[in-house]
Amino acid sequence: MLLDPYFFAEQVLNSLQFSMLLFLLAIGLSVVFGLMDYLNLAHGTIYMFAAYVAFTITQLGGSFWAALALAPFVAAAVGLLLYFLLLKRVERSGHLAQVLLTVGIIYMGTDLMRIAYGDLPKGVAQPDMLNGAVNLFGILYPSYRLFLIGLGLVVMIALYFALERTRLGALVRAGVDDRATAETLGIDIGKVFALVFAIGTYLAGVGGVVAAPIFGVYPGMDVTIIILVLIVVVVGGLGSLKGAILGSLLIGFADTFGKILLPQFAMMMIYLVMALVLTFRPTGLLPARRFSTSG
Amino acid sequence: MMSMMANRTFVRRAIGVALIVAALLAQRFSGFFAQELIAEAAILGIFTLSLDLLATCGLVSFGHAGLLGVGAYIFGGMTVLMGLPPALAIIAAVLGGIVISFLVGLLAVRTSGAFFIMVTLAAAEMFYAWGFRSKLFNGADGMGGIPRLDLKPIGLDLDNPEIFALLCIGLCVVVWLLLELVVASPFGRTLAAIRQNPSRVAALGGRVFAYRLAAFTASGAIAALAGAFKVQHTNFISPDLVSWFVSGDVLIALVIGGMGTLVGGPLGAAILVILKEVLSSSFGHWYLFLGAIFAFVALALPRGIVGWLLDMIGRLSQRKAPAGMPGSSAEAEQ
Amino acid sequence: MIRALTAGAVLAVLSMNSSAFAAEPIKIGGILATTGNDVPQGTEMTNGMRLAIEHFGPKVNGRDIQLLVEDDSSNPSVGLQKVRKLIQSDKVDMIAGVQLSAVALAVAPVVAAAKVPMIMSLASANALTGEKCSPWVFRASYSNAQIAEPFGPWVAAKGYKNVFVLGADFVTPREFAGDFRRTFEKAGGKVIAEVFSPFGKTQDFGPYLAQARSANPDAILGLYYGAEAILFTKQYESFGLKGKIPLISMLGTTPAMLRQAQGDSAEGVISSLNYIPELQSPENIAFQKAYREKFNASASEFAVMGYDSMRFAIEAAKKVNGNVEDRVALAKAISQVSFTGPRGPTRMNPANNNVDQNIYVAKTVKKGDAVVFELIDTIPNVTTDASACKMPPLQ
Repeated sequence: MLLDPYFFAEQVLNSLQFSMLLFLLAIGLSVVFGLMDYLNLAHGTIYMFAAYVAFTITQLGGSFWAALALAPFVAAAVGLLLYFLLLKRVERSGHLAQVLLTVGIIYMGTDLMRIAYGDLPKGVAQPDMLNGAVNLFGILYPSYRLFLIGLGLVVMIALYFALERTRLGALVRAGVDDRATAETLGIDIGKVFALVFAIGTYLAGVGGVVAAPIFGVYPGMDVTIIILVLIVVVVGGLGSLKGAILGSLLIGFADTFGKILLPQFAMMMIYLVMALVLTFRPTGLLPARRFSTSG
Repeated sequence: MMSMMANRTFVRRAIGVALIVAALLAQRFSGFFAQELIAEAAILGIFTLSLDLLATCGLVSFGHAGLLGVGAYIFGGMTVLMGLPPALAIIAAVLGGIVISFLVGLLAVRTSGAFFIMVTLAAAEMFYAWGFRSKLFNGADGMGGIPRLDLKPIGLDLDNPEIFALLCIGLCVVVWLLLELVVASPFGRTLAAIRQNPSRVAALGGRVFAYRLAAFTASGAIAALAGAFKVQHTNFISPDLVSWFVSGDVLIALVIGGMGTLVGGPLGAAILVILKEVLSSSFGHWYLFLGAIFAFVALALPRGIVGWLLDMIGRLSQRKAPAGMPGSSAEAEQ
Repeated sequence: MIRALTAGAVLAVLSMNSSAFAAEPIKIGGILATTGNDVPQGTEMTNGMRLAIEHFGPKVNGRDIQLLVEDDSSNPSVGLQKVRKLIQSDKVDMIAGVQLSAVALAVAPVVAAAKVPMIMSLASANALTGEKCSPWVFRASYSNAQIAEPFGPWVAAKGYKNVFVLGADFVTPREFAGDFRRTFEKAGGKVIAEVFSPFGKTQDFGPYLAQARSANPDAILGLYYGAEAILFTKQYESFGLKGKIPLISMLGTTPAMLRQAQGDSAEGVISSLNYIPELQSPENIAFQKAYREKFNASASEFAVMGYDSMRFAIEAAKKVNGNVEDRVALAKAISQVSFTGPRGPTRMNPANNNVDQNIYVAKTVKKGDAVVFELIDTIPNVTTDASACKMPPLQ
C-alpha cells in the first residue's frame, strides 16, 4: 500500500498538517519550559479556550477569518491574566507545584467550558473559500489542510527571523542559554518571559482556532493534545525553535505512519519514538543548551 | 542541626501515628460504603509511598501507573486466566514489579527532571497501549471476576469490606514502617545526598546510577504490590488503571500531602479520596472545585501539608535556638 | 461525616403529594455519567427516567418511586464502587442506567449476587444477554447483534457488495462489525477490511480515510461515537469522500445530539437504529411533546431508552403490587413486561432478558437548514438469538 506513490504522498501531507498543528502549540511550551524551567500543562487549556472563542465568534455571525484574527488575542490576554494571577506565583516552587497548579487549572477550565457551552462537542465551519479539495499532482487533498500546512510554515519562518534577527530574539536566546548571566547583564528576564509567554499563548490560540474546523470543539480537547505536545517538546529539546520544529515533524510523522503501518499499536509508535530519542539523547534532539543530565 | 533532623523525624512519625489512629477510628465507626473508601485510600497510600521512595533520590515519575499496572495485570492474569491461588499471584506481582522496573530503570534513570518525567510517562503509555489492545485481558473493556486473597483458613473473610479495609490499612502501615527504616539507613541517606547534589555524590565516588536504579526497582516492587491489591479491591482490571490520569492522581496525592515526608503520601491519598467522594456526590461540575483546591494547595502549600507543618515547626524551633543554621530545615526538593 | 455525605448523594428525590405517613419509597439507583465524555447521553437518560416516573408513577401502591443518581465517570472501577454503595448503603430495590458495556460487565456479577435486578438503559455488549446472561440482569436498550444482524442483508440487497469497515476500537463497534459481517457475507456481500482505531485517542482520521478510499469500496461502514463521530464525518466530507463513496453506519454515529457539530457532514448517511425522533406513531409524538415541554429539548434514542428502562421498572413494581422486597417475584415480573412505547412494540424476552423491538433503517437528509432522519425501512419485532444464554434458575 505504501508503495503506491499517491497514497504515500497523501500520508506525507497528512503528517505535515498534523506536525504544523503540534508545532503551533509546542513552540510556546518549549520556550517557556526552556527559559523559565516552567512545566505549564495549562497550555492546552488556552488552545481549548481559543477554540471556544472561535466557536462563539462564528455563532455570532462572524466569519472564520474574524475568529482567526480575534480569538488568539483573547487567548493571549487570558493567558497573561492566568500568568500574572496564578502561574507566576509558583515560578520558583519546582515542577511539582507547577504540575499541581496547572492540573488544577485544566480541571477548572474544562468544567467552566462545560458550564458555559454544555457537554456536547461543537463545530466550527471551514471558511467557504477553503471548502473542497485541491488536485495536487493527482492527489485530491482538502484545501483547508493545505492552508494549515502553509500557515505552519509561515509561522516557522516568522519565528526564525524573530528569534535570530531581532533584539527580543537575542534576549530570549540569552535567557534560555544562561539565565543567571543574562540577569547580571541587566536583562529583565521577567519582562522577556511575560512577552514570550504572551506570544506562546497567542500561537496556542491560533492552533485552537485552526484545529476547530477539523477536530471540533469539546471539553477535554486540551488534555488530548497537551500530552502529544509535551512529547514534541521533550523529543525536540527544550527552548529551541529548531528542536520544536524537528520534534513536531517527528511526532507528526510517527503518529500518521503509525496508524498505517501498525494500526493495532498506533498510540505506541509515538511513545516508542520518544523512548528511543531519550535513550540516546537524554535531553532531546536539539536542546537550546546542554542540560546537566545528572541533576 | 542533628537535633533538628531528629525533631523533624519525630514530627513526621507523630503525624503517621495520628493518621493510623484516625484511619482505624473511621474504619471502626463508619458504615459499609466508607469501608470501600478506606480501602481505596489505603491502597493509594501504598502507591504514594512507592512514589515517595523514588523521590528520595530526586526523581519524579509521571508513569508510575505503569508499575501499578504490572502488579495488577500479573495478579489478574494468574488468578483469573490461570486459576492460580491469589497468595502466589501477589508474590509474582511483586517479583514482576521488580523485574520490569529494573529493566525500565536501566534506560530511564539515565535522565532526570522533566526528561525522567516524560520517559516514565512513555513507558507507562506503551503498557497502556498494549493493555488497550490485549485480547487476553479483554482490551479496553477490561476483565472482571478478580478474586481476593483467601485468608479464610485463619478466620478472615476478605470479601467482607470491613476486614478488607483493615487489611489494607495494615499493609499500608507495614510499607510505611519499612520505608522509614530504609530512609534512615545508609542507603536512604545516600539517596537523599543524591537528591541534594548528584554531582557531588558522583565526585565522592558514589555510584549515582546504581543507587537510582535500586530506588526505582524498590519503588516498582511497592507499586506492583499496590496494584495487586487495587484489583483485589475493585475485582476488575482495565487499562484505565495504567493511564496517565492514575499516574497524575498518585503524584497529586503525594504533592498535596508533602513529597519527601513519607507520611505525607498516605495523608494526601486519604484527602484526595475523601475530596473526590464529597465533591462528586455534592456537585454536578465537581472538577471545578477539585481544580480550585489543587490550585490553592499549589499556591499556599507548595511543599504539601506535611511539608508545611514541618517548615512551620522548623521555624518555631529555630526561634527557640537561634544558633540553628538558617534554611537548614529545608530538607528540600530540588 | 461519610454518612452525611451519602445522604447528600440523593440527587433526585421525587416526593409528589407525599403524606407524612407515606410508606417506604421504592428506590431505584441510576448509574449515569455526570462527568466525562458520556454526560450528554447520561443527561438525556436521566431526563427520560424522570419523565417515566411522572407518566407511570409517581407512586406504586402508595410508595413513592425514588431515583438515586450516581456518577460512574464512564469507568468500570468507579461504577463497581457506586453500585456497591447503592446496594449496601442506600439499599436500592433496583438499578437502572449503566451506559458503558464495560461497566455493565463489571457490575453484573455484583447485582446478581446481591439479588438486586438491574435494567440497563444503554450497555449493549452481546454477552450481557448472551453467554453471561443472568436472571437479575435485564436490557431495555438493545444488543449489538440486534442492530447489526438485520442490517447486513439489507445493505447487500441495496446493491453494496464490497464494504470497508472503519471503527473505534471497543466492544460496540467490534460487535457491530462482526455481526454485520456475518449476515452481510451470508447475503453475498464482502467486507474488504476492518480497521479499528484506538477509541478516544484519534483526532486525525485522514490516514484511515485515505486507506479506505484506496480500496475503492461500494460503501464505507463507519462506527464512531461522541467527539470521534464528529471528526469522522467532517473529515469524510473534507477529504471529498462524501457523495462519492456512500457512508453507512449504525446507531450512534450521526445521532440527533451531534447535529450542530457535524453540520451538513452528517447528511446522506444510512444507518440501522432502534429509534429515530421522527417516528410518526401516536406514542412517539406524545412522548416527544411531553419531553419538550418538560426539558425544552428534543429527545433522542438515549432519552427513550432511559424512559423505557424506568417504565420496565415501574410496570414490574406494579405487577408485584409494590412489594419489591420480594426480589424473585420482582425479577420475574420485569421479564414479563411489554408495552407499546415511543420505539413501537417493546417487550422483554424472558429467554435472555433482552428487549424485543423494531429496527429502523433511516437516512439523514437535509430539511431546511437542519439534518434529520428519514425513515426508509422498518424491520419489525426483531428478537435476539437466545441460544448463547444458559439462563440460570431464578432463586
